[in-house]
Amino acid sequence: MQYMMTYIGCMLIFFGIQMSSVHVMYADSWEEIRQATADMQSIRAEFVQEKHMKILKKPIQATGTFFYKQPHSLRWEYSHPIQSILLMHNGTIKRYIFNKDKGWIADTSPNLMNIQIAIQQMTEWMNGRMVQGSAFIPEFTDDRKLILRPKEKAMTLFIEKIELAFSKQDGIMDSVTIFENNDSYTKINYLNTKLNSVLPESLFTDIAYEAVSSNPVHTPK
Amino acid sequence: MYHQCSQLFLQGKWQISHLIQAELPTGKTTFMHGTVIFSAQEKKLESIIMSIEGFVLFNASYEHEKMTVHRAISPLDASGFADGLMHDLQLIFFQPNASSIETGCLPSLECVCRYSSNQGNPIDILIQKDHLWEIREYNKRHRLSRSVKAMSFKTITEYNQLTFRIPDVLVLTTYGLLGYTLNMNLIEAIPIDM
Repeated sequence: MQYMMTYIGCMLIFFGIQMSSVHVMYADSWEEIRQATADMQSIRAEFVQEKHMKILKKPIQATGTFFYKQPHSLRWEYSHPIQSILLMHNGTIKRYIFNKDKGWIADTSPNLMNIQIAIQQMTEWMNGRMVQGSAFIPEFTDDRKLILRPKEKAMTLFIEKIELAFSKQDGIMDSVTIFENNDSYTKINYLNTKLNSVLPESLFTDIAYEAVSSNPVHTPK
Repeated sequence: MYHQCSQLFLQGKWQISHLIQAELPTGKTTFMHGTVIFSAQEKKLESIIMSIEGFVLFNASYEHEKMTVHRAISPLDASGFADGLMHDLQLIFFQPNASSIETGCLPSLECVCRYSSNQGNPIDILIQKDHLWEIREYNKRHRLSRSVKAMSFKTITEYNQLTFRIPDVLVLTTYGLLGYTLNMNLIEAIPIDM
């Protein structure tokens, strides 16, 4: 059960990865998605994340950038209001949070190790293994949405459904919405998505990284 | 002096979010996003703890001195966690019971208001000359059990020109074998229905 909680807990991180399979364009089946994304090597996108709960006076908003590179490298970086970087590369996962007095601080909690195990399993869904490995039942809708509902009843207590919305113009994923229950959901809107740009390895191993395209060395403040 | 102590606590209804850096008894450090919605007058609050990625790990409410846990995901479902958290939040956001108050100043020029908690434990509020403050709660044997320190402040002016001085950084420490420290950095403070 604890594993399942961890598994659910890293869903939002995971959608940085999962996007790489589903992200590129809308299709009518997992197999079509696999074929459509066969040539995808990397993704870079900005995102705006909104947490909605009935109790909240105002949704909690966060913005950031994510980078993904085949087969298992991820950088999930929040820039506002919290500065946080999650790095996954070669089977290791690290998270850092920026403190204005102390600089970047590493998250050393044991939960991070559990997230690593869960993400490793979930990345097995990549490259066509989604059907066998998926814990969700997919439903492809006419309005270019893919709705995922958990197969296991235990998981429905924590995630009701996940909705992936795709652009009508180019089929690229616009947003992911994770519904925890009737009172609570998280929506991530993706912007300025770029496919197959050259992403240096340091992007997935270091807080500061080498140039991407023509940008100079980037050091998050 | 009493007026100075009571002014430390926000009045009305608020939604306040913090980045919480928790230093655990195991020596590990972890981070969470904490949001509290509370009414000072009604002594009513709702607590939401999320992962940095926004997944709700814990949600509980406190009203009429009764706590209801709506959601608790491992490891935040541990026995005693919810009670401990509500205790921490009440210490931070609610002015202690105003009865049995004593006030005075120490030779170090800190001034103190002493209250008694509902359980009869002494609670001291110390105000320094620079207006930084600390809340100390003691157990029945007069040993320090919890402290909250306001390290710096932010002034928030709302659309109706009301100005609030809100702690920008709070450090809560619990003492004892399973003691922990929460470093709470203010993300956002929103007055509700003011």
